[in-house]
Amino acid sequence: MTTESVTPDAPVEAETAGGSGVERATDAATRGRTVIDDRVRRKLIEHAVLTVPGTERRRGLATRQLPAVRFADRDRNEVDVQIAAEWPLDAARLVPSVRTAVDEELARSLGSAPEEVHVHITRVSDERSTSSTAFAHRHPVVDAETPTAERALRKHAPRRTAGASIATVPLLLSVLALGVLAVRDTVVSLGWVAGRRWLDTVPRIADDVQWDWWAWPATIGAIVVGLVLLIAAVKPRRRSHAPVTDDLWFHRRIDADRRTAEEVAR
Amino acid sequence: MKPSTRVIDRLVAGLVGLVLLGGGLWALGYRLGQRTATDAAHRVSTATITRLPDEPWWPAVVGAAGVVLILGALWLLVRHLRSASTRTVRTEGGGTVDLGRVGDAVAADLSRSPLIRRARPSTVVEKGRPIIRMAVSIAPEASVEDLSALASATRREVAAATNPDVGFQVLVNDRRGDGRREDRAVE
Repeated sequence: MTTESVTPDAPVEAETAGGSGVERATDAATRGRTVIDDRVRRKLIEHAVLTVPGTERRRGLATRQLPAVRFADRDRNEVDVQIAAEWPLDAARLVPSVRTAVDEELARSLGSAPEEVHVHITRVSDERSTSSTAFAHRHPVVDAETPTAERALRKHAPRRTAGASIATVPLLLSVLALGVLAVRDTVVSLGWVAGRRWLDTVPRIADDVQWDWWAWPATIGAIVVGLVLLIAAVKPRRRSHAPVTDDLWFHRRIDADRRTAEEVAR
Repeated sequence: MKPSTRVIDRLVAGLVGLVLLGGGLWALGYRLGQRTATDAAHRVSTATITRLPDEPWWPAVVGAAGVVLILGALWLLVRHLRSASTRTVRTEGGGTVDLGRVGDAVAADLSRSPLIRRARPSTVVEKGRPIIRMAVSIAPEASVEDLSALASATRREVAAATNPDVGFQVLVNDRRGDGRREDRAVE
């Protein structure tokens, strides 16, 4: 949708020209007004964004074109800008640069800058624009010498899927099947489908339940499965990887003899 | 998977486990003549149970229970499919960045290293902290020192692209040439 906004130049010029209120009104009416289409505003912002090093234009049939601009309010005082950035990116430099570029461009071209510019990095290029050495030079290691506490490592360690989560999936599928049976029986009761109700058999067999040969394995099976589920419900998740450094983790199943002595010790 | 889903899973597994264990022990006690179990069995009126399907409210209750079971099971199954990944995080400088896109860029970048054969990104929230995890297969000749340096350099780039609170972990799942199958992905 295209909307328009009027630039505030008419009152300013009228004041500088002087004269009575009637004259000013007549002057403004005869002189016309300047209308800025939102498309123009968007183009200016896109142009400003692309002048910042580290940003890039993205066009695609299936994906959104970037940079993309959205005005968050009717007065266009808040602007949301979605950008695509090159990798590696320095957000602490890039975001303020984009904001400044947009402010300056709108102030220069339209005479008013937005009050707020929100910058969202929604795409990051797969191609590296700077060598890792150059990037590391600009971002020296600050905390590499500080050993991370063992507790913090444990806290964020990658872990296996919980046994309870694995067990719950077949349980849920069984519950789902039971629900479908119940709904099917109700449909039969309403006469929408011909047939007999299957779940009625369950309460009716209570009358002649007897201890038969199958009751032993069923009872033992229920006890064993119940115990397994109870253990799965309370057992903590196991760690899947062991830390070598803060950032590097080896899977526990990787052969120890292929790792260094220091790795194995940890 | 979200932590709350894991809690629900544990509750469901614990509840079903308790029911199965209780039922099994009760049946066993009844068979062995244990007094509590036999007394409980005698208190149950089988006539009332067998007449339940003839009650006028039975079809409505069965239907309502079926709908509740279907909706509840589907809700929990869908929760299993949804990951705990976070979409955007605040950056230094007051902007936001799509964490998944950063993960994709890091994976593409790591894949170009001769040390890495394959990299697969994922984003999770562990104890409230967003973390980018990179499950990788490494070259057989890759040394731990080289991998550590690569991981450390990449972490610096991730921190610069997002913020220092975002974690980064390179998870070495297999060494190509070992003939070892890559293990199941970590949540």
